Amino acid sequence: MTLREFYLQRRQAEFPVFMRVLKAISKDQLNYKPAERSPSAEQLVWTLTTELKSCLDVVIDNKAEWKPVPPPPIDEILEKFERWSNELTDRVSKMDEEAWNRTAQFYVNGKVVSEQPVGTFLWFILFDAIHHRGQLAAYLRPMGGKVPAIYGPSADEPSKM
Amino acid sequence: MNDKQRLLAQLDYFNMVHGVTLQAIGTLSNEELDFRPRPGMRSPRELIFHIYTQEKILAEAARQGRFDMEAANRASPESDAGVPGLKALATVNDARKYAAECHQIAEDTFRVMSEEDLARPVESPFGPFPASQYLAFAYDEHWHHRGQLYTYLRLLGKEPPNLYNYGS
Repeated sequence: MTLREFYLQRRQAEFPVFMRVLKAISKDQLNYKPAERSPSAEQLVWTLTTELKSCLDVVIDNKAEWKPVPPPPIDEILEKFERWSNELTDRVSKMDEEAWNRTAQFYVNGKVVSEQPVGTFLWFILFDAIHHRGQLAAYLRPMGGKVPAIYGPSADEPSKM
Repeated sequence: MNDKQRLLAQLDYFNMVHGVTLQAIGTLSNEELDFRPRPGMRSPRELIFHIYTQEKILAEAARQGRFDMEAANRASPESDAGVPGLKALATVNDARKYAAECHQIAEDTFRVMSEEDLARPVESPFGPFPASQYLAFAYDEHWHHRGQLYTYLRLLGKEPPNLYNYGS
């Protein structure tokens, strides 16, 4: 198994977990944040979504730029998350190893802040997203929601794996 | 890159990730180990216990060729099997020491596994997975639960360490 194939395997395993957590968010509590300096739930979901767009840009153009864009309505965010996630999986499944190892640039405010192989960038973002999903999972109960099964059962979903 | 080379690279990176987690644990006071955002949610003590016991147990499973519910329960702070281990994490220093010990045991276990060992199927209640996959499970768990811990630090009014500050 190549690293690219392993990445695909992990993406496919993680996608339904992301969807379960995103769908568990109370839509009337999107402004919730645990502390003043924390991102709101809405901002976290938008970060997870725009990270996928950056991954797609890196795969397609070998470059991506981080631009702070205000989040659209939550239903649109969720639609984009699902669509971009599926598109990313599809495109990576069709990449060859040369494309996986090609150098990509990541820009912030017009400046290159990172140059690394496409595959390295994709792995980095996958775990960054798992981190933010973990943060979000700890928002759910204070927001009045329920925590879905993630890597195993939760107190709210004890029988699901 | 074969499975062994990939695993060695992942272990090196995992060490850096674990280093940041130790910093995060170190920002807590002993009293804050019992903090819960809501009743029924895990405390920092329980999260730390779970992250690191699970890492050690998954490594043991990869070595032994079997992961069962009894092993899974040992990493659960809600289970009777987890109670003694949890009680041992009385202070932040205890928690950091336990985290470091579990991480080292897991690293040592994975690092000596051969390519053949890593490819061997390991039985679990959810089906068989190659032994190498068990490191991936531990790594995913670590990122996920540490993300939760970062939210807790904010709830406690603390500044979490820079997530990618691998230099210190």
